[in-house]
Amino acid sequence: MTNALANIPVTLGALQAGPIQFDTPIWLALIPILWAAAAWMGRRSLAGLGNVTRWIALAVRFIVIALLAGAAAEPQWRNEAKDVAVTVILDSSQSVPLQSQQTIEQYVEAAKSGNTHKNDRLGIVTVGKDAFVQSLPTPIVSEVERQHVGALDGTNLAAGVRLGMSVAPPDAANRLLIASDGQENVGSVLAAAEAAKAAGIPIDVLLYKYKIDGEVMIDRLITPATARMGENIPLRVVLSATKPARGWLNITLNGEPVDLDPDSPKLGVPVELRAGVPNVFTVPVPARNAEAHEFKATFEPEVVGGRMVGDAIAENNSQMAVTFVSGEGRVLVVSDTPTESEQVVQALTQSKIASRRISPEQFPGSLREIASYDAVVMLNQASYAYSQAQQEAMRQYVHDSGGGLVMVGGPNAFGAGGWIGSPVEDALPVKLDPPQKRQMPRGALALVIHSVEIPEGVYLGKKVCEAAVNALSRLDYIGILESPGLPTWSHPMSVVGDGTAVKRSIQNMNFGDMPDFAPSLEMTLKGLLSVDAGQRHAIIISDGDPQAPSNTLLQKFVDARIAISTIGVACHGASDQNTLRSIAEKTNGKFYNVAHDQLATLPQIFIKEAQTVKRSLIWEGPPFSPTITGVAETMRGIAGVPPLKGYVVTADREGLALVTMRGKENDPVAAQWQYGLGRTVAFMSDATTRWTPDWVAWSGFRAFWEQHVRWAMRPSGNANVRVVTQAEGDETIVTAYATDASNERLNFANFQARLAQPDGTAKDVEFRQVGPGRYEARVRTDQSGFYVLSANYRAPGAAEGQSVEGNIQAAITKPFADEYRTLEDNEPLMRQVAALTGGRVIEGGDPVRDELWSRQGLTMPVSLRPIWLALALTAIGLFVMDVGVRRVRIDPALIASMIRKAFRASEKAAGEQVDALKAARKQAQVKIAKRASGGDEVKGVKFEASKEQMARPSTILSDAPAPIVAKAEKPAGAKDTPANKQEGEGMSRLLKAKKRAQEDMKED
Amino acid sequence: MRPAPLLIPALAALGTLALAPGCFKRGSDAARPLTPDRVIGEPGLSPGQFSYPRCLANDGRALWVIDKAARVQKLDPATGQVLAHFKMPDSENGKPTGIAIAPGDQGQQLLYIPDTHYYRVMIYKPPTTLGQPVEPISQFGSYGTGPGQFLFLTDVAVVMNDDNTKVLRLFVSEYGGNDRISIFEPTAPNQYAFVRSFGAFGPSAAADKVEFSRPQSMEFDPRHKRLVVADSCNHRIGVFDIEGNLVRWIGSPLSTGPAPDQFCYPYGLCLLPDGTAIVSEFGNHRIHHVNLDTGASLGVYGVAGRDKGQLNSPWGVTILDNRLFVLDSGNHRILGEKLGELLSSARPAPSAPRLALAWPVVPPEVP
Repeated sequence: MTNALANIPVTLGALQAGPIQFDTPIWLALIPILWAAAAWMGRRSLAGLGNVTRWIALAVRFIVIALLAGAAAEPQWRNEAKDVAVTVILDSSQSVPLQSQQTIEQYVEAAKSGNTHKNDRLGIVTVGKDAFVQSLPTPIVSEVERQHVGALDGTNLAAGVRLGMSVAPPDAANRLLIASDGQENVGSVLAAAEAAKAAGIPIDVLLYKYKIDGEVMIDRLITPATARMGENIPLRVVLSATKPARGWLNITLNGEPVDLDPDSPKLGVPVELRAGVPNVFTVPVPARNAEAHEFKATFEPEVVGGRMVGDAIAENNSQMAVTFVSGEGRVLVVSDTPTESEQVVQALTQSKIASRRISPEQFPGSLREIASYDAVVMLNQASYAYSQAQQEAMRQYVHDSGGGLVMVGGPNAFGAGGWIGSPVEDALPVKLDPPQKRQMPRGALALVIHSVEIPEGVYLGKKVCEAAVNALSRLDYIGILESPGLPTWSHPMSVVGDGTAVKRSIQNMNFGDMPDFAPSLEMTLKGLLSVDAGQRHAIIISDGDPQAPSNTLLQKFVDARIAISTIGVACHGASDQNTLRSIAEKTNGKFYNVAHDQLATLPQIFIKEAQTVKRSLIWEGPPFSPTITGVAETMRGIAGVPPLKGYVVTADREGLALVTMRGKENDPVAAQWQYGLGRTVAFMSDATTRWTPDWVAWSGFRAFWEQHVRWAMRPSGNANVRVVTQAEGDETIVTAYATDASNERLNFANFQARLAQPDGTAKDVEFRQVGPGRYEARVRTDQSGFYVLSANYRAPGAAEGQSVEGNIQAAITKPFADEYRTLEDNEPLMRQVAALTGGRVIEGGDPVRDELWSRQGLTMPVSLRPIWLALALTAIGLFVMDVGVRRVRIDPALIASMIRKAFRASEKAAGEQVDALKAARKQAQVKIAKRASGGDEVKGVKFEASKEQMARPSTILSDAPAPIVAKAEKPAGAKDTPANKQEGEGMSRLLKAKKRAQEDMKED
Repeated sequence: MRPAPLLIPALAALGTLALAPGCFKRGSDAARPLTPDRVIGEPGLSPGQFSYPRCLANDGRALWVIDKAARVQKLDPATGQVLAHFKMPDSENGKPTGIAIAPGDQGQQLLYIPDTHYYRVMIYKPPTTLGQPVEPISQFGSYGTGPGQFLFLTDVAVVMNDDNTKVLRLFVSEYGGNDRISIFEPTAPNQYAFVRSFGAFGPSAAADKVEFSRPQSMEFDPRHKRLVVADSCNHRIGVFDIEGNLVRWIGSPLSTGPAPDQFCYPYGLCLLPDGTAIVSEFGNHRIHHVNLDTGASLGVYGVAGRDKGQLNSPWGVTILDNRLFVLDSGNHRILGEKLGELLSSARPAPSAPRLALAWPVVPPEVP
């Protein structure tokens, strides 16, 4: 008994007895008390009952008490899990050699196949810069599959642990296994391990062990952040080596090699590196133009027998740095053709503003390149010509690097050019959606989506739909149709509005397999015609294998002037392409064939196609003179402007945007504002004879463009500010040395600075003065890539009331990820994670010995089901029984007698039946015998058994058991049975008890 | 208020309620949900998991499935355990949408895989164990619309001699604008030569024309010596004799929808010994039991959805050990239900709605 009690665990006030857990066990204490009370009370109240009955009644009372107390104690039925789930967090980052990753994969697969618990589960999470679930933990998973693993130039073990915890099944005990070199460089795995520990999930670790002996890397390439034209820019290259090494040092400037030794046939210089100390080499390079100078230093190790000597990782053998060379301000003019920009460029040239015209294909790909210009003028440019990264860079260029943007209209610009929803729209002083109250024709776009057989098909499908939606205005109609079996509207044709509803529909899309284009196109046509729109357009995205629609159906689109553009993604062959091409050609649409390596262009194609319905945003009509509104520096000296014939409709933007010219229905025609550190100007009409034929001959034409562009241009400043950057771990110290025009140190300057980061975000930077004319800022630069720092400054001038102001820029580079700096594993960190969470350090090699699914140290999860109601109902039932026991006399002998009687009756009936059957059988046998012997023929064969009946086995007769008949033959003597005697005794005892009770009552 | 006016509608309501279950069970147009006792597979890329499986067949003992990851998997129909698997050699262009299993000339079972997007039929000796390397033992076909060439293959039907020891001919179906069925006959073991083809692309409902629009699957019925074709985008089933002559169309391109006398993209089919067929309807997310002689719709089963017993774009069906297995493609799984239990709720033939019938010249005998 003592031992049994000792085995009952009591935790946190709960008591567990076998599979039952009592959450409020204090109520159980009532049981002995109430039992004692019941026994004491029962002495008198049950005294009238017989011995057996009394004990039964008492027992029933005890049980009822126990059940009621048990129910009050909040009993729960415990279901304990039996399975273990192991989620393997595979470090797939580039610091782990591929071969090691494959070895681990084989190890995990062998461990799973060798595990004897077949319901145990395996899940896979891969970790690079981010973590991704490859397989959810299920019993079926037996192999390591990798799908999308994301960027691999970083190790974010913390994200892996968190993801592993989030997919841990609640009905199994969980383990995480981190297979990694432990060299994390994003997040903190220890913090994540704390969370795992709190959740009771141990983390086992399996270490990729490695140590690189001979390695050379370029630690830093130091250049001044700014320089002047004609100066020599001193480049300092700092290399480190773990062993003495030899090789060549090469430098490139803006991608072109710099000849470091004119006397040598090679472009680079030979270098010898000492081990364990910084090897510094200084190379002077003259500044060529007033633009960003991007330097790249590369170490080329000595190669013997096809192998690098003293160096193992090639990725860390180069570094980059940028120096902004200042000169006269320059403006970048972008137009599709030179003719389109001819007048504007001429006006700028006459105004002595240096400019360079390019086509959109030549537009710089990065913020660093754009930042070398003081302003960008975009003439009639459509958004689809610019990648998402370029658009984001343009926004950053204005907001964070202080550049100027002048967007000039034309039929492809602003909302009509698909800029709605783009990052550039944020930078513009007008809203590209038309005003809500403006009555204008709307566009209607139908997207017909078919699943494509590529792994990222669903992701891309959603992206392109969103891109198309973003390119529409809030007044346009959008409908998205897919075909999960039958075509259905994922989003019925309806107004875009704020886009929330349609984007929610996009997230819920199934991307079903479409057998046939025809039903989908019929529905599309009906949907497009059902709305009142000025422009209607349909886009199909497909791999092209559904059945082609009939010409009759396509003709209906032509008749309705609806073009269908088709986008073939991963088409299976020429036939599929032909189907899609044919649909487009027959309906005057466009066909795009997008190969696997061109998938990134898909959103741009959708934006371009969506733009088709945006023609409604263009106002064209008889020439009118816009009204000059607002007083601005850009309109200085301009009292009126010539008439114009067209413009793109936009809406006013709230805030500090200033509309300087207005057109029909008060639409803004020219507007400007300060956006972050920079400025933007929007001119919704164009700069050609298309919409402004009279402007070129207008005397104010040059002044108009000069003033607008100069206002937007980054201020060049009237001070000498030199910037130096110095990396310190994950931080960079930016130091600015400022002097005024007379070379006096510039004090008390106020800086407004932003740092544009490689991931597209930006943050404010705070400069503080640390000495005479010396200002310093610290910025965190833990991402690899280019950072551009831009600062506007203002300081009090030497004379009263004067001020000195300007802008400085600096670039900070971190060309390779920290992933390539690691030369050996981080075993201590991995051991720390295991120790913190109660996990194990797995040696690897023998999956059976390592027992990944070991139960040791795991607490099996328990699911609890309340059972108080069942106990309470049982108690109520027993309580009624208790009353019955006391009030109703149960005589076992009488019950037995009744049962016997019932049996006898049935046996008798059975015996009679058997007798009758036997008689019939005997009679039949006699008849058959007579017939067989040719004796007396029985007349009237009506009751004679047929042949079939004779042939049928006489189951009943043969199965009739003789002993039952024998039993049935002795029904007599029932009254003298002992049972009846007992019945009489029972009644007399009951009467006696009643009499005694009456006597007691009299006495009372 | 007198009680009589209240009693009458109350009794009527009670009567309706009492009769409603019976209406649903038998002779109703509503599809009854499947009640599968086996659910095999789940989404994923490990063996035993599926990524949108599109073809299903059985070899008499095990199920064979090919999914959109181009993996061919052999599964135990009772446990779902993977018995063997391999990957198609090429899959970048696309994945197979059909599979047939039949004895080859040496009597051993072979896999005939129409490699849809590589314009060829691949013939494999099936692997018997996990990890066993698999190489095709033969293949034929090339891209084109000429004789013996293919656009997109959908299925293969194998015609054997009476004692199942020799392949007499193969029917190969294709779509993509050249929708037709080609006949190939053996020239040597596992070597086939083109004989002729029948059918062309088109939506014609006329019985004197053999036009297909994506003949997605075929089954040869050796008992009745006939080829049954799911003409998917024409929403009908075609019955042909062994020479490819049209016997009758069941269903019509002019009538598609969810009614019991209609098909909507019949993608897969399997034949029962009594001359009826079970058809999986991709567009209606259901299984349809039809009489191939009379066109009678004997029952529709399954409703659209993701729960147990519901279907999402079923591509195929097969019968193994008196159990119907449905390839529930959109739900990445196979559902198995005892055939007897499924068909016990079939409509009695006289009350069954009939699908449209069309036949060439001589009307077929309608039992």
